[in-house]
Amino acid sequence: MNYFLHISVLLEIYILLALSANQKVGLSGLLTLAQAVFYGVGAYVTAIIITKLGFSYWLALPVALLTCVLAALVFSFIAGKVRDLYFSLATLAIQIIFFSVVYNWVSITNGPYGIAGISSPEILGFKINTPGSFALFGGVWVICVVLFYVWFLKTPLCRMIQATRDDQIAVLSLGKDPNYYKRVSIIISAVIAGVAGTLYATYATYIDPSSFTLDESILILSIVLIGGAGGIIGPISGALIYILLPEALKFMQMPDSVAANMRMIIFGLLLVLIVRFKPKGIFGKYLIQ
Amino acid sequence: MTGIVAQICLNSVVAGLTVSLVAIGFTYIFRVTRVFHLAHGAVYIAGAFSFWWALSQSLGWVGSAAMALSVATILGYIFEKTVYSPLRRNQTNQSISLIASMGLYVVIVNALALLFGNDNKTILDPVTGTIEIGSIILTRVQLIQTVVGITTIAAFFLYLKFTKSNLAMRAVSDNETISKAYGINTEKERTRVFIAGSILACIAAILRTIEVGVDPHAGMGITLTAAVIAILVSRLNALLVIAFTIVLTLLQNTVEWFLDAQWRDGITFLILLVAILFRTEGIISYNLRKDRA
Amino acid sequence: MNEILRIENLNKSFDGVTPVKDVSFSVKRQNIVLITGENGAGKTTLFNLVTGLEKPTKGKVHYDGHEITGKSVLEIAKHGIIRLYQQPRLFKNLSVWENLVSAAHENAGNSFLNLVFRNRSVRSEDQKLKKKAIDLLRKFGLEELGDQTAGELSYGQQKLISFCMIAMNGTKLALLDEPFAGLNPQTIDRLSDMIVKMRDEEMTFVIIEHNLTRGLMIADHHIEMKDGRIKTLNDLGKK
Repeated sequence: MNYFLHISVLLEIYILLALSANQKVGLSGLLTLAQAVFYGVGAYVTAIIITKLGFSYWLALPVALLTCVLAALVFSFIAGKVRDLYFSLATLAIQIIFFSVVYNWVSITNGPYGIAGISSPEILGFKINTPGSFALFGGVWVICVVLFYVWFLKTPLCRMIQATRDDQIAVLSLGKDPNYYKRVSIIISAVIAGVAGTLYATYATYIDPSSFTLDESILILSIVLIGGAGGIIGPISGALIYILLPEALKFMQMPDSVAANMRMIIFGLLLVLIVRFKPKGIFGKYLIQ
Repeated sequence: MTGIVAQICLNSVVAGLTVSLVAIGFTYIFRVTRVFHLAHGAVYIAGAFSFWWALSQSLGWVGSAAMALSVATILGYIFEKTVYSPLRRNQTNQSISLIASMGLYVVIVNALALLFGNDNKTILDPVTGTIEIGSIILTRVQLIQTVVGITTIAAFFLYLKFTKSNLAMRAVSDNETISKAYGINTEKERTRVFIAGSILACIAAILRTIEVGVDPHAGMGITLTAAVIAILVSRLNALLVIAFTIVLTLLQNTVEWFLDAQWRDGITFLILLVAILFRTEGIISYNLRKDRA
Repeated sequence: MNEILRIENLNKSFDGVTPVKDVSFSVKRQNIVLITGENGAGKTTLFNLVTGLEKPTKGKVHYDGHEITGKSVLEIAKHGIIRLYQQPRLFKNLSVWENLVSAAHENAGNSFLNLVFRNRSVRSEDQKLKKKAIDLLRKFGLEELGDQTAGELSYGQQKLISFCMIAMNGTKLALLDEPFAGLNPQTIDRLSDMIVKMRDEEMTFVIIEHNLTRGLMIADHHIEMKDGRIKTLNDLGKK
């Protein structure tokens, strides 16, 4: 039972990450290779505020999200300058620089040793520290974000964000600032990824740089592309496939050591096949070109 | 102190020569086919493992090298024919081929990890011995790397000269559609550049393997360095690629020596980020150019 | 004030070439001005100078009483000068009515803060814009396209929709790059009807067109350019 709950928490975190990446990839057409940066910023700021300053989760959360917004502003500056492949490469560079900084800035992040002893959130004196309560807590966050998207996808702002994705020159010719719509999109994406980061830090109670690598960013992007970008169901199903794949492999009596690599082989193959034969992804609304 | 500086410089030139083999391949592939071929790292690592495995099966140095070269070449060829070339025909943009190549990379690296395990594999009968020139030490492995590296680069230049491929490649890299209209077999040029790039990467992989061994993740770092070079060098000029690679390696080694090994990637990619932000033009002129093309 | 655009002594030179030399003219409201000339006569550069894509070396551009020389593309577009390129630029993954609503000059729902704090009024404003978009499509006989995805339309349909978008935007001045290129005669008829109709409802057009006969049929003024200068400037005297 605990194992099932553990899987649920992971699934919830990855759903949040997938939805956050979808905001950039699906709605703004920005193929980012640095989504783990926002995830990492959320997690690290939470960890530092809780362990070093001794504040609670509920104070760490807004500070973490605010830091994510600041990081998002740097991103939107870059998104305003470069496009397509060069945007992807710039984000790749940021991802690697981020990892380098977190790994080396020992006085703040404790470098490769990571930060341990991150205490759990508390609601009205009730401590969220069992897998069950955490699954519930994460579930509430997922529901909030999904509801947000059910509303947001129909708003005029979201329409303009998608218009900017389709043709930013046309947006500009109509007298609207394409960079504003990119900025809003990147900020929303950063905040959701930040939430996932705060959840991860308090759930695992220990974080180190290895959770926020380029591989993780590639993985998050793949989840969105495999599930399909642009909607809500696509990213969620991508996260489901990623999390449930190893369970399916275990079900087929595959030993753990093999299953870990097998999962990535299948996932990589799926990514290549999707890009090659079904570029909209499994449940995608929008064809990334 | 001067001894250390001289030693760092020497090591950087030798290491840079090896890295530049990967970088030349990457740059040519990127500029000619417009594919940002991160799976070049997969070709590299597959070559390295084939070499190590063949050597452990006592196929001898020459036999192992031949086997590694065939594996790498076939892999590069398959990537181009089954993934990149069809994507090109569907006119997808460059980011999509970047993602496809990441998928390929993930598949190959994990397959190798599955077959050989995640630990570092060193060759059983390594080349040992050093040559001392004053206070500077040159290992015999480094000597081999230098000789093979220079020979390979010379061979690459001869290949370009005698096949007249260079001109065709330039034409394709400039404008594939027009090249096609003028009767250049663009498919053939694309295949050639992938094969040549894979051979170069495999030779570099062998040279690295005899020095430090190989693990499934060793391909990413060297490929990313090559990728940075490919962005910085905007022309099809192998000599420029070599020069840039050696300078970058020197910088990386200096950073590693004075700061920490982990800053190495950070600094490298800071350079990339700055280069990307400076080389770009406003979004409009960019798009209008794309429309006219 | 009857004058919407005034260009004074506009010059552009770079690397020793001067694609635009001492060009001066003015455009009155609700007029259609046709600019013709051979390739390299400076027509496109002139458009680039007016829309801020390139900065003039010398000279001034006045729009609606304000000087807009050297302002950025966004500022000029915000002032209300729209440029339509030869290729219709639609939002390909959005439906046609969504394209039109996105083109509207003002929509409170485009700001995140308004969405959060004034959700109700934002929603009703958006509904009004949607209605306006559908009315507009009906006016030009395109209502059956309303729910289709823009990217799936034919080239001609996309072109017509892109003109509905400038009508929706309510812009005062539109610069058109070869609006008739690549269209079949029926679509050209429809498009020129649309342009004339829009002109009669307060819009002004400056058009670059190689199809001289077509252009002259709807134009009120004709400017011929050669080697960066204005060669002739004719009032066609329709009004």
